[in-house]
Amino acid sequence: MPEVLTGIMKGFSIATLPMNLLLALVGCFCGTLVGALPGIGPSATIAILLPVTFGMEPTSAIIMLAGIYYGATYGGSITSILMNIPGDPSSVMSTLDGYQLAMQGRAGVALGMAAISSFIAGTFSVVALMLIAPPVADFAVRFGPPEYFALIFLGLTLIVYLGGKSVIKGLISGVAGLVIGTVGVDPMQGFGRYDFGIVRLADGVPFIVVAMGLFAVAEVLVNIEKPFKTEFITNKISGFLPTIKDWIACRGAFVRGTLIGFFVGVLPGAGATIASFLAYGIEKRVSKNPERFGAGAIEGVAAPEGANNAATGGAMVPLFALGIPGSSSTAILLGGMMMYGLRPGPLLISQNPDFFWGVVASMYIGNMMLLVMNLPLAGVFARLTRLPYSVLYPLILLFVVIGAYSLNNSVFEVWLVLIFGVVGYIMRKLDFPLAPLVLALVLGPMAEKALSQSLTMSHGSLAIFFTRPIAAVIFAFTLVMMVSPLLKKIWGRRQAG
Amino acid sequence: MARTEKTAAIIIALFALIYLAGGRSLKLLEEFGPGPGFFPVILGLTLICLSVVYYFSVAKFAEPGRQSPFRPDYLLRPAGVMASLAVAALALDYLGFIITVFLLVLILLMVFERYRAIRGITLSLVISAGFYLLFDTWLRVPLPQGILKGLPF
Repeated sequence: MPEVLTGIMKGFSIATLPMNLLLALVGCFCGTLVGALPGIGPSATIAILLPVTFGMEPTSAIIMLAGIYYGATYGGSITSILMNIPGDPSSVMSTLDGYQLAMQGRAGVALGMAAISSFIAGTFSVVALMLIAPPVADFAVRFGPPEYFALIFLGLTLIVYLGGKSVIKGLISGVAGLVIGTVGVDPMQGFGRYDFGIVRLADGVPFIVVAMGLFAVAEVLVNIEKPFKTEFITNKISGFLPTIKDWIACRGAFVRGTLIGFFVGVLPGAGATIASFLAYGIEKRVSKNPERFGAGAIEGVAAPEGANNAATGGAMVPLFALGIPGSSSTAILLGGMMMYGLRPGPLLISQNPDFFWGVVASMYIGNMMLLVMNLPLAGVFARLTRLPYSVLYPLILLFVVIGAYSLNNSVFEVWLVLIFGVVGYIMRKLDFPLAPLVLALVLGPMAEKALSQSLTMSHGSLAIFFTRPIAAVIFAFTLVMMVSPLLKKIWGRRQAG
Repeated sequence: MARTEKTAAIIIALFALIYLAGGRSLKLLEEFGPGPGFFPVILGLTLICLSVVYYFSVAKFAEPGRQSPFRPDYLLRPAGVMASLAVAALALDYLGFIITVFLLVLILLMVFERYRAIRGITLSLVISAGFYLLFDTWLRVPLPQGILKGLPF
């Protein structure tokens, strides 16, 4: 405990430096804006803005990018409530009751409750992150290559099984990411592979280029297929503070949404979207009047909004403690950390305490900033979202092109981004999930290295993965995850038969 | 839809075969453990297996009557925008940043979004100048000058 206190004090001294405060504010503002804007998500924004941060200190850069990540879940509720259009997938559930409340003239209260619930859950998740990540990292220091390979395998399996509608498409997407990750020098012998003699590919396909293509360019291409029109609640929005009755109605939703969100967020692949769906479902189930849900129940806004914000803090636990991202946004953050020269993994916190504690402290401050931004300024953000998509998408594409160009001051990366944009568009049209590809691309080289080291240690025997207790437990859990859909199907058929 | 997905499965299988063929010169095993070709071979074979499963799952579970997601009338604008970006990428080093970006935004606004000339030109000027200021002047990204090289901005 004293280490935590010393760490967070140190963190606050870093996070409150004027430049870091400004970057946290910029990150939170951009996050809220992209969360509110349908047609661009946090993954795309982090990917687009990553090249802009190359000249910054790693701590300052991640403070800004993390602000975008958790700020987007705040902003998502604005368009959900005012326009019945979720700004990002994790705000889908807030449309059900939020928009109904807005139709009843309670848009301000719905926005206020969304911001307050997000603040409570976001702050709790940062406290939990601060308390849980260091001991998890200390425990994970004991991990050798077999345990690490097992952990990466688990992470990839979870994102495939929890993240999409079709397991087979998720698997293909994940393996495609691993395949792209094999381009360039192999991690053990330093042998060049699949680089077609192109020097630029010797270090592999830059993940940031893939992320920008898949998330930003593909998103634009899908959105411009047909004209993008939205309907607004045109009444003046006021009265953001909930009534005492609202507070009493939501007290259970705050606790349940926060806890569900945090623990679901820790699981790779589950993330803010599943957390908000679960929290809404449970809230409806425990309610004495479930029929109110969908017709303007304030708990129907508080629970999912709390859950999706708590999930962002939860997702930071495996990222900082183990170097394993659980979503596309955290995968891009991880890639960014590697680009800044940090080595994600169990030693990250002990070797870079200023970085870890600085980012954690900035998340406390960021949550305060977001509460202030989202209460009185919700109307301003709502007006900003009226920026026509016909102007927004050229701006997104320009950021992508210049961002890709600035990686090496060459057009080669621009071509790569365009190619991955087309790939992402085709994947989106065929319902292939994008997150497994990006996650596998980031984790692929680590997985290959851990696999090679493990097999070298065991002289080629796969038994090493099942004779070491931690690796065996992780693999057993992974196996359960993999066969559970099949068992569920068989069980369902037997019940029906 | 089923036909499109079956075609996708075949393309994935072909890609996996090319990937495997491209790695045939890589050693599978070294003296003390896996070689540089070990992981790619596992991935290539897995991808082939997955594409076969995908093909047959599409054949078995396809929803009859579901349209292909690639409708020609929907493809027109994305294809046009991608073509404009490709031309801009080709022109970037020669024309330089400011002219290329100005022309790109102008085409996007006037051709694809049907903006009127004055509004389109004004917006394109503001956007290209704004991006130049942001990246070149403030963030110090060395943007290509192209034919404007030597001018005082």
